[in-house]
Formats: sequence, C-alpha cells, structure tokens
Amino acid sequence: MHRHLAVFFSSALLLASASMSQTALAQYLPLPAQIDISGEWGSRVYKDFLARGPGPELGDYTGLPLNDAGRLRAQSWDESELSAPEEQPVPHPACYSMWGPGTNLRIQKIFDPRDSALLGYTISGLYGRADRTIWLDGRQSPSAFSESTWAGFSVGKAERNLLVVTTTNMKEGYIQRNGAACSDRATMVEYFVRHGDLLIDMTFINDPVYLEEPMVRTMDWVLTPDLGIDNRVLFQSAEEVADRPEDYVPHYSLGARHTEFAKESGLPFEATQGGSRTLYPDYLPRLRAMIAGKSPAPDPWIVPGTVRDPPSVGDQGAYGLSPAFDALGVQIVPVRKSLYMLVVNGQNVVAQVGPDGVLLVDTGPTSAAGQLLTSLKSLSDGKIQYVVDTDFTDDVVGGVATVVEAGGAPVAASHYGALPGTVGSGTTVVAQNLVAYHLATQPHPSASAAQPGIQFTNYRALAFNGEPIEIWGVPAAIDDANSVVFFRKADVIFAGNLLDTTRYPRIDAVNGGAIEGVINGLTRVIKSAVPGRNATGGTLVIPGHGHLCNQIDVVYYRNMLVIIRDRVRDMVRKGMTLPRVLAAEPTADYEGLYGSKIGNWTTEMFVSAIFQHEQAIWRHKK
Amino acid sequence: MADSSGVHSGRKSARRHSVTVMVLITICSSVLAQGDGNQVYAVQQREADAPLAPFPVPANGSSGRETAREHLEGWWVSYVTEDWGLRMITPPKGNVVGIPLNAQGIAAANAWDWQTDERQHAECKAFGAAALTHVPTRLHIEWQDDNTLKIQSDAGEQTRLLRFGGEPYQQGQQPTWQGVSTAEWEPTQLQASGLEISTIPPAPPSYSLKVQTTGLRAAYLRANGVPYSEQTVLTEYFDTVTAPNGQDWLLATSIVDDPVYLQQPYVTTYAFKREPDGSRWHPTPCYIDRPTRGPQPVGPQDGLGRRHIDWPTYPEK
Repeated sequence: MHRHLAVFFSSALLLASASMSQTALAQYLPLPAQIDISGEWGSRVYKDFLARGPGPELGDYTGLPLNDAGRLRAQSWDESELSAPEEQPVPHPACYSMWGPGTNLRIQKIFDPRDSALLGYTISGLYGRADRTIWLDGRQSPSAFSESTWAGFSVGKAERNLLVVTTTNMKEGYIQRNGAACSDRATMVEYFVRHGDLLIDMTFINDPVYLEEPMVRTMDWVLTPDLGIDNRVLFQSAEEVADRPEDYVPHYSLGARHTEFAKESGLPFEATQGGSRTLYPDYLPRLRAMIAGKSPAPDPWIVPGTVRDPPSVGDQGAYGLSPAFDALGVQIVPVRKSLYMLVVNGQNVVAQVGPDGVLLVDTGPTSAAGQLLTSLKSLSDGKIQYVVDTDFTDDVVGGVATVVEAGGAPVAASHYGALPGTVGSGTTVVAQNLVAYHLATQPHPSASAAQPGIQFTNYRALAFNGEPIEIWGVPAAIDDANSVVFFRKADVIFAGNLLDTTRYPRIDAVNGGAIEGVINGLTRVIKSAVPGRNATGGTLVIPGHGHLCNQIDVVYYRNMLVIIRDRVRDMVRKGMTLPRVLAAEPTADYEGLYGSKIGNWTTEMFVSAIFQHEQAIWRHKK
Repeated sequence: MADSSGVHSGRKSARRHSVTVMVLITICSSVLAQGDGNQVYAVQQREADAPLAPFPVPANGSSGRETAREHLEGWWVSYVTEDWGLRMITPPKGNVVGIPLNAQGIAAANAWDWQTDERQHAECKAFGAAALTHVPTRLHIEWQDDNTLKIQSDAGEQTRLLRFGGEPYQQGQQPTWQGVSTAEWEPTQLQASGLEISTIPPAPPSYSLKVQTTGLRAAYLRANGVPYSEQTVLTEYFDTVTAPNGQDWLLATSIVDDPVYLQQPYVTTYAFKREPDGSRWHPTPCYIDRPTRGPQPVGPQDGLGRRHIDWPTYPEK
C-alpha cells in the first residue's frame, strides 16, 4: 500500500513539474552541462623543459612580461633565501603550481552528500601538496581581510566548452623559480578545455604589481588512468646554516645585474630581461640586430592586441591602502573561536569575548569609537573588562576614552592595584608605561580617561576567558611604546602597527622609532609563530592594517624591510646624500605593494627615516 | 513458495513502478522540449533566468562556414611566453630538450647542418605545418570559400588550407610543407546530468576546430634541425577564449605523431592574441636563423638520465 502511495505521489510530482511554467522549473534544474575534467592526467612537459625541471638560470627572464619592478625584484632575489627555515616548506604557489616541474594531476569531483550535486573539483599531485579546490557551486570569494593560501580560492563556471576558473586570495609567490615574483595582488584566470583524452589549461596571471601584461601559459595533460599520483611530498624544515642571524635575508644589492646567462647563451642582455615587447615577433628585428652586434634604432612600442590592459600604477602609488582595506566604519572578521578582528576605519583591533566579558586590543580612532561599541555589542553582551593599548597614537587608541566611559571607571582597589575582571569593576586599560608617559605629556583627546590602570615595562601576562595572554613590549620600533599581544590558546598574535600589509611601517623617529626595532619586533613574531602544514595555517598574525597573515606573510614583509634597509645602508656607507638615495629608488620593487606619493606616510618619509637612522649609526661607528 | 512469490511480486511491482516513472519522465521531457518547436527550449529558457551556459541551437546549413561556432577569422599574433629561447632564436645544434625523440630522431638532430640547408634552399623547413604555430608569427585566418578556412603566416609566408569535407592526402601526391588538411568542428566533450540528459540536442554543439594533416614534406619541429618525417600525422585543435579584459586569444594545440622520429606524440599548445587588423602584418620569406652558441646537452646519459652539458664546437656568429 505504501508503495502504491509512493508511486502516486512521485507520479503526481512529476506531472506537477511538467505543468509548472518552464521558467519556474528551470530554476530547479541541475548545473548546466559542462566539461568533465576529473581523472588522472599525465603531464606533457614538452615546453620550457629545462626551466620547469632542473630550473631556470639566474638572470633568465626570457618569456616573462615583467615590468621594471618585477625585474628589480627578480634581480635582487638570492636563492639562498630558500634555506631560511620558514621558507623551506613553501610549496609551489597557485600562480606556478600547474606549470611546475611536469605536474601529474589527480582531479576528483566533490559531491554534495545530500543530493549528489557536483560542488567542485579537487586537484592533487601539485608540488608540495598545495592541493587546489575549484568550487562550482557559486560560493563567494573570501573577504579581502581573510588569510590567503598557496592555492588561493578558486571558483569555476561552465562557459561554452570551457571550464573557466578564477583564483584569488593567493599568497605571494612566483611565476618562475628564479625570483620572478607574483604578488599577493595577483589574480589568475584559467580556461580548461578537453579534446578527448587531452586536457588543456590556459592560464592568465594578472599581476598589476610585477607584470606589464598577463603571464599566459598553456599546459597539456593526457588522460592516464592509474597514474599513481604521489601525494606524500610534504616538507619539513631543517637548520641548513648554523648560527645565522635571525634576521639574515640573502639578497643581491641594488643594481645587481645577472649577466652570466646572457653571456652563456649568446643573447643580448636586454633580451634576457623579459618585458612585454620581447614577447612578440615585432622584437625579432631588434633582437637580430643586437645579436649581430649592431645598435638597433630606437622604436616606439605599442602593445599589440585589441584591448589595452589595465593602466599602470597611478600617482597615488600602489594598490596599497585600497578602499577595501581603508573603508570607513567597522567590519568584523572572525579569526578563531571567541576572537575577532574588527576593522575600524581601516585600523585593525582585536576583541576576545567569553564568559568573563570582553578584552579589547586597541580601539581605533576617536571618530569611530561609537561604531566600535555598537559592533562589539553584536559579539557579546559582556562588559569590556580590559583594553590593551599597543601604542599611544590616535589611530590606535583614540577611542579608549569612549570605551572606558562605556564600561565605567575601574573600582579603586588596594595598593596591590586594581582588580580588573571582578564583578562590578569597570574597564581597565593595560599598556606599557611609555604609553602612559606619552598620553600624559602630549595633547591627546583620550589623555585623561585613557591612562593605563595596569602598566608594565617589557612584558605582562594576563589570563582572561580561560586564555593565557602575553603582552610584549617592542623597543624602538614604530615608536618607543609598541606592544605585541599573543593569545596563546587561540594561537593568534596581534602585531599592531609593526605589521601593515598595505604600506611601509610608519616609523616615528621623533618618538623613538627605528627600522631596526621594527625588524626585530617582526622577527620575534616570526619566531613565536608556528606554521601549520607547508608554511601556511598554524599561528595567525593580525596586522595593524590589512589582511590576516600567517608566519610566512610576516617573513616576506620583514624580508622586504631588511632588503630596503640594506640598500639604504649600502648607500649611506658610500657617502650618498639623502636626495641621491631617494633618487636611486631603493623601494622600487615594492612600491606597487606598499608605496605612496601622497598622504601622511609617503615612500619618501619612509626612506628618509631609514636613512637618518643608518646615517646616525654609521657616524657613530666612524 | 510464499517467500518466493513475495519476492517475485515485489520485483514485478518495482518493475511496474520503474516503467511508470520512465513514462512520466518521458512525458515531462517532451513537454519541456516542445516550446516553439525547439528541442532545447528548456535549457535556453534557463539561460534567460540565470547566467548559465546552455547548449546553443545548432546552426542551419551544412558547410564549414555555416556550422561554425568558433570565430577564428581575423588577425592573430604569437605571444611568446613559452619556449622563448627555442622559438625567438635558433637554439644550438643538439638542443632537443622537451621533444620525445627516439634514437633516430636524436641522431638526425645531431647531424643537422644549417649550411647544408642553405645550400639546398631548404629555408622553409622550419615553417612546416607541424611547427608553424610554434614560430613567432602573425596569422591571418579567413574563409577562402564556404568549406575552406585559410591560414596564412607572415613569418615564412606560408598558407594552409583547411578543408571541411575535403579529401585527405592520397598516396602518390607530392608532399608539401603544409600538407593536406581536413577540418571538422569537433563534437563537444560536454557532459550533461540529470534532467538535462533529455534536452541534449541531437547534434551536440561544437566549439573547437579539429584539423588533421598528412602529406607533409619532411621538415623541422624546431629550427635547429629537430626532424619530423613525411609519415607524420598532425592533429590540431583551435579554440578561442576571451580574457577578463576582453582580449580574444587563440589556442593552437598540435599533436605530432611521427612513427619515424618520435617515441610518442609531441603535444604542445601555444597562444595567439587577436589584433584588430593587419596593420602590423610583415610578410617575411622563409629564412634560416643561425643557431646561438648556448650550452647544449650532449654525450651519453648518465645513470639518472642526465646528459652532460658541454660547449659546442662550431664557430660562433
């Protein structure tokens, strides 16, 4: 009887479906027909075999559409950098991995267990297990504030006989294994097409920071069942160079020219340096003239094609401080259980919530304090028991007075100090004593209400909401009053303004800041962070501005500072003046990421701060 | 018996239900497919509802041009981001890396002498069909007639004729640099699922041009004398994509199957960028580009399959 009823209802359902308007029914149809890329695929490494297998020569940038910044970045790169313990486990990044050293692939379908709908594909077999996932279910890309990964975030859609895959949220990587970089601002679009047992992936890497035109590559695979993909390759770092200084970053000095490849291959040096114009047949007459020892006549260069690529970096410099990172208002970014990053007018603050109430690290500027309090209420009804100040500047702690007023004044306690966290107490401010000093001696809107109830010199530990929390003082960094906060249970470090993924650190030399202190502070963060598998995951690091980071992101940022400092140091020791140092553009390869020509923190100010520090040290040594 | 009978009864019942459901599915499918007499109505309708990729309506007509869904016509230019050192210049003799040559192929490559080619006026050997998409060049593609797609290169001034429904190469014909090419719009590899199966058009759409070429004159896969023979069968696919910035690209995939010189088919895909017109078209006759003096792998393989790198001994330019 039940069976008959089932048949009746299923029949009725189908008839009802048939009588529905076709438009309505269409909404319930499955995903459209598309190519099926699943299977095991054997790579055909018939192109650029030497560059993909053994590896390219230093100085061989042929075939790469590098711009000047990309070329300088590549010329500065020293492969010894890869011996750093933090960089040894780095797998191939998404902008290189499919090309890689002849990657055999296992592509598997992901089905929704509820209705067997195709949700996406996983791709494994990539060097270093940077497995990829391509989502086909229309999900949104993660926020720009999210932590990035080596594989990035990929979404696919069917288009004619193509599977079009767009990848964002990639970590900084490279397009070739000789220093040709791919910035974390890059996006990748791939077109997969099948011809029988042949799979082709055409890849466009658009990197406004380091490329003049998209890097275009095509890869071929042949369906090869039972290929036996080796997925065991995971990397473990080892100490390769003993007693190396913790902040040692191998790199070639500014102006280095790797001419060996050109000499060995009989090519003009210019031709080995890549760039858009070298990628077209139009370059052949010039190339042949140079090979023949003639000086080619200057000729204007117009990029072929029907659509111009995006314009180059504008006067504002960089893609740094983009609206996404600097928007007004408050955005809440979940970090770990009970821990949130709140982006307050572009300044990151941290809220830890739990049964004991709320612990806030920084408040953002005065102007957004009200919005901050409103946002905090959406996270917890608990009282704000602590505010930890990591600096004294208005953008960091300008809202402290408002927050403290909302929480009520702390209960006066015995000579042992206030008893924050107890029932009935108000909000207690925790900060270095130098923060208290600056607040007391400088005109500051929060000066009176924001005075720390708990002061320390170098180190302070707290336990709150069941979490051990360490606060380290970082001497002479952005200024003389910086702190870093380490949530040990959540495994999250708030680096404050020592780390800013949108610009160079804003060093305040007048108040005791120096590049050396920033580098040392970041190095301590690096040493305290423990990455997960393949140099990603693990400890999360929250910057003062910008997106969530892992240890490796901090390493890359710190390395950038070391390289720029070393360049300026070299010039100082050669007796160069500040104008000459500025003219030499020691930051040229990082301008697209962190530079600015206008605003309250320009590249010139940053270089000047390093110059003055290095000059003082050099004079002292002499 | 009762057990047996019960099982039997259950099977019959299940079969009956299956038949019922199949009939109903068929009815629904036919209802879905009836709109405007168009067999793919339901899928088309969905396109209007959501930005999904549908099966297109097959074009009327039967000629290559009438059934075309790829807009290949126009002007294209090589974008040499791959194998730059093997395409923009002639690599040293013996540089055969990346090509699955057999022993005979390696021997032939090592025996190459560009001066002999020059003496024999064999300048076009590096511009044969199997290598033409590797050469840095501009391509001009146009319909010569309804069933012939013509591809011209400005480098080497070569012309290929891809004939839809054309006769393949016949033994006894004179082999040529560009051979005899037959073309077809390749049936798609699209996979349908669920209800969509009932709406697949009878003739699946095609977006790729497939070309098969034989009757090739022996020539070079690489300008430094890496050979392919007259027995080569060249299979090619031409696809187009439109990048996010609106730039059209052509993907030229070639599969070179040569039983004489190759261990296995040599598969490559190279990219071309669409240009608005032929204003940068510079016809250049075939030429022999003397090799550069870069390092080359020579000598026997060691136990790990590596070859020692030595310096070439032939004179520098």
